[in-house]
Amino acid sequence: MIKKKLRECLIKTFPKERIKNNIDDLKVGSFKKWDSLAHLNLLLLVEKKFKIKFSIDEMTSLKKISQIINKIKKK
Amino acid sequence: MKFHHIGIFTKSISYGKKQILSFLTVKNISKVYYDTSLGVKVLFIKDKSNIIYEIVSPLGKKNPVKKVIKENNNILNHIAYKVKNFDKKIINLRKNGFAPLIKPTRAIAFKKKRVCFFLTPLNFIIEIIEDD
Repeated sequence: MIKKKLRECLIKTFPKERIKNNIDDLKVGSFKKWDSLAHLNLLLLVEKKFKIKFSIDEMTSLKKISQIINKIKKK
Repeated sequence: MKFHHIGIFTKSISYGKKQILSFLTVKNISKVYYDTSLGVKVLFIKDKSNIIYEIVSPLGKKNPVKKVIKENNNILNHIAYKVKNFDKKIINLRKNGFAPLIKPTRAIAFKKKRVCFFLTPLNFIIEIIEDD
């Protein structure tokens, strides 16, 4: 369920990219448009979608989808 | 929040300064500050209407300027504000959907007061500077 919702966030943030089903190995830079600012937009969308808040440390250190998944599980 | 400056990214301080001086009447120019924590060199220019422009150029290999210059995007980079209650302001900005670009960092140009950069929900960048 987490991965499905996270994939929806990726699709919304990067509408021109074809997001594969297995998103585990994706990270900042996986697509050309996935830069630091786009990544922040993704994290904000994740916060909204999962009704959670990341700390500043988390916002500046979560760079991989696998890390985001783990963090959501702990929230 | 009190407006402080507009941050402009440039390949070098001398080039940025030359360009600003070519179209503005300037009141004051600061010294150049070298900030290894933030990876930038900065210079402040105050114009006749008391608007302060912060000219920001790269310092070291790991810096936030290089990519911006290369992509020619976000050159007019950020608007900076001085804030009282820095910690409370950060919590408040986070509540309102502002995303931090870096952890709060002490800035050489502001007497080692803390600064933090946020992407606003309107998709532009602001800097907050800890005020006395």
